[in-house]
Amino acid sequence: MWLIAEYQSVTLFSFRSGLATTSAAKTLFLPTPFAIRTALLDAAIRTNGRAAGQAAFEWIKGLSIAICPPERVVVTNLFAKILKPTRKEEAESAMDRTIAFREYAQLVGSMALAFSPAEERADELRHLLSQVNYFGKRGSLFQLLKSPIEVEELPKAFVCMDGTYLQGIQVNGEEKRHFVLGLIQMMDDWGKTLTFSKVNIYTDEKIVLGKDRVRKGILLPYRLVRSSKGFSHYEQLPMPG
Amino acid sequence: MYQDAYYVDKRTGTFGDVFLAYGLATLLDSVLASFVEGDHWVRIRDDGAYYAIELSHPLQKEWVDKAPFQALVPYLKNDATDPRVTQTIPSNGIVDYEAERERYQQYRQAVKQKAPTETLAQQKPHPDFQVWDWIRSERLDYKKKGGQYVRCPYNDLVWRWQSLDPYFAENLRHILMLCAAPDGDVEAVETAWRKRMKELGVKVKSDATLLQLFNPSQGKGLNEPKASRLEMGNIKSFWLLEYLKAVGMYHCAVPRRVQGTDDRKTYALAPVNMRLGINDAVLAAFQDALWNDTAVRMDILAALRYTTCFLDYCQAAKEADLMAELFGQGPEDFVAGMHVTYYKSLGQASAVMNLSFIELPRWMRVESPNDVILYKEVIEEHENIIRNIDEDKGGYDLLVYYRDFLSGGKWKAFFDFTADYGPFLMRELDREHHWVRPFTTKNLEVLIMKSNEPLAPILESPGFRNIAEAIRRSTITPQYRGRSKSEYDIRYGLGQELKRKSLYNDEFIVALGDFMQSYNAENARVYEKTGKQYRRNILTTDVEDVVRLVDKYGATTVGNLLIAFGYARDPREEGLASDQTVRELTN
Repeated sequence: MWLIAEYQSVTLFSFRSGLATTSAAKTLFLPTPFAIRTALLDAAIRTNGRAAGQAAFEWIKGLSIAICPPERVVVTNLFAKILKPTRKEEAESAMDRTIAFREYAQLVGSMALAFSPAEERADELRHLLSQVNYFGKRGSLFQLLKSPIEVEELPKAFVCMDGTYLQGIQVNGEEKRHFVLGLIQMMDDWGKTLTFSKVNIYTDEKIVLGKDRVRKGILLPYRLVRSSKGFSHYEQLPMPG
Repeated sequence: MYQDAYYVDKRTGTFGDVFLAYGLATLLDSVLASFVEGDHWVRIRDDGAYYAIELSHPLQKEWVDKAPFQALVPYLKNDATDPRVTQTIPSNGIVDYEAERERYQQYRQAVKQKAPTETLAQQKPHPDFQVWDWIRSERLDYKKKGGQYVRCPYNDLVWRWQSLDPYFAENLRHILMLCAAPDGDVEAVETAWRKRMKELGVKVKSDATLLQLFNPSQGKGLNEPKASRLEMGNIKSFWLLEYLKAVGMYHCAVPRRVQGTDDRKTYALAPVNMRLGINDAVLAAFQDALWNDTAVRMDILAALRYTTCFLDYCQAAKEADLMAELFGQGPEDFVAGMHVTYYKSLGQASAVMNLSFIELPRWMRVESPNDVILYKEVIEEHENIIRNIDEDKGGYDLLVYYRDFLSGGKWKAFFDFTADYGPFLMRELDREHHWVRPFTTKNLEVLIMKSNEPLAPILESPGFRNIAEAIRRSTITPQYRGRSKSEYDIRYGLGQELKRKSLYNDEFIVALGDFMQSYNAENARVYEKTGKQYRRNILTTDVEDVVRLVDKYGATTVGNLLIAFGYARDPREEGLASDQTVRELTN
């Protein structure tokens, strides 16, 4: 059983790729599985309290996630003034002003997310999905368009976000599949060893890359249509089969 | 693992991926060159999510085992370079940066002093100097206070590759392992390489700092797995990949300075389907053709000049296969365009201010060798026009319009450009800047009819042509003759007026009607005064034609085209610039 929630991006979407640093933040086109799971956890804590969030952590971690991307994505290239920690030893201020490259994506069309909850969790998940109003970076706002629906089979237009990835020495996720034209985006996800305590920003426990936070190459069905200095316009490719 | 195609994923969406693809292609080419007698080639093909590196001959295990060491890029030496480096690396693998810089400065001086061609040819800097200078922008080797030598990250990669000379086959094997299929597992191969080096008793690090030079989105900055702390730092990656990026940079990167600033722009070719040998030949010509310029104009000239270099190469029939492949396609089917990174100088360091992709023009379809000549003429004309627009003296908007047309394929931007270029041209002519030229109708026709075929009936309509001619004879023709010599008024602002009114069909027809009426009246007045008529009247059939076109295509389209052609030069009309050749026309 899959639970499908359809969202509309209501602001420009910006979410730095885990590969990029803040000095030149190329954006991903879509929220990562890490961001989606964290948004659900956040919704659980905000609506039901910390204990409920902690209880929800394990089943949120076990969800399979698929995405039906918007028809088009137009990415705007800009630069912004930012603050960064100073390198000067005797500075008056802890932060220095500088500039950095930023990208903002306009998602044209709605974005649907599909989840595979256990039957007894479906209602709880439906409730959490209605509480989510941004993914990833605060300000990348999304509006749930209608109450999530249940389907038996995942529609073909969805891209599974469980790409192949390495955790320690174990290969997880989908088997290598036949590659179609499209573009790869490196997306993060919760690793199997991630715990509530590690994800809690008020603890000192570290999140270890490659174990607690795993990186997956997700193939998105987009192609670059046109681009210039200020923008890149991507269009969805027809899904195979 | 021993096959005829290898793969490089496009993980970052920047020119880092391209550098890696070119680096791998260069390495594989060097292996083929060592073992294949006769013709061999390496081709880079864009397969969407990854680049495929195809080989003319499948690699064999024996070749990999016995492959001789290949030093693919030079070490950049300066005064602070560790003497051990110069003793270890063969002299042909070392470049004295300071000496090359001196040579470059002498050449620039000679150019300024307008030295003879032979002198310039003798003093010409090394073709890779701009790449070396770009590497130097992130600091070369230096000495610490205690006298300890520190290698710059680029040189460190070169040094590591060189010092692992006896293990070249191992390095090659691990690279092939990683690139044998798309979606290669970097971490797993890095772990395997580290393990193998340990077995061989080699003490060497497997990681390297990601340099902003090759990885513009991964420069020193903040990147933490948990959102509970912030610390500036560098990301690290498998060093063999970083070395290949350094190699690939020499085959696709064209770094330039932005005129009048300390900022830099680096252009990196994005191949669609290119053999490495052809790529290198076209790149060499392109490096000569692209000079430092202002930011926007340099983007435009980069796209136009690369296209010209590519067409020149095809035309010279140096590669008969390439010409055959070109038929039915355009240059953008071989190279999509260029990744562009803008580095803003912040004094000691620089910040990435923009990452973008400039496309090659997509309006060319080469159906015959004649088309190549035709397109080259169009590009030359556009280049001459663009070169005369000064970005810092009011031409910025014009250039931005043109860049969006050229790269973004926006016809609206092109018509915005032509609408604004008309008044710009008239201003320049007023100042007797006769080197600023209009488009020619012939080349405009080539551009529009070849790339925007549905508009062809408009251009073929006699009414449209006559009214465009009337606009021309009311604007740039009398301007070329000179205000005092022309019998007719120069109608300043006519283009902008028509552009403004072209939002609505009825308003456009009214504006055009007013123009036609006053145009014919002016003809009659001049005829009455001089007994001569130098230009044809607009006929009622012309009006009917244009009204029909407006009904069918809309005022915006027809208006845009009328302005573009109205401010263009018709090569068939003689004497735009000479009053002696004005013909006497009778009604």
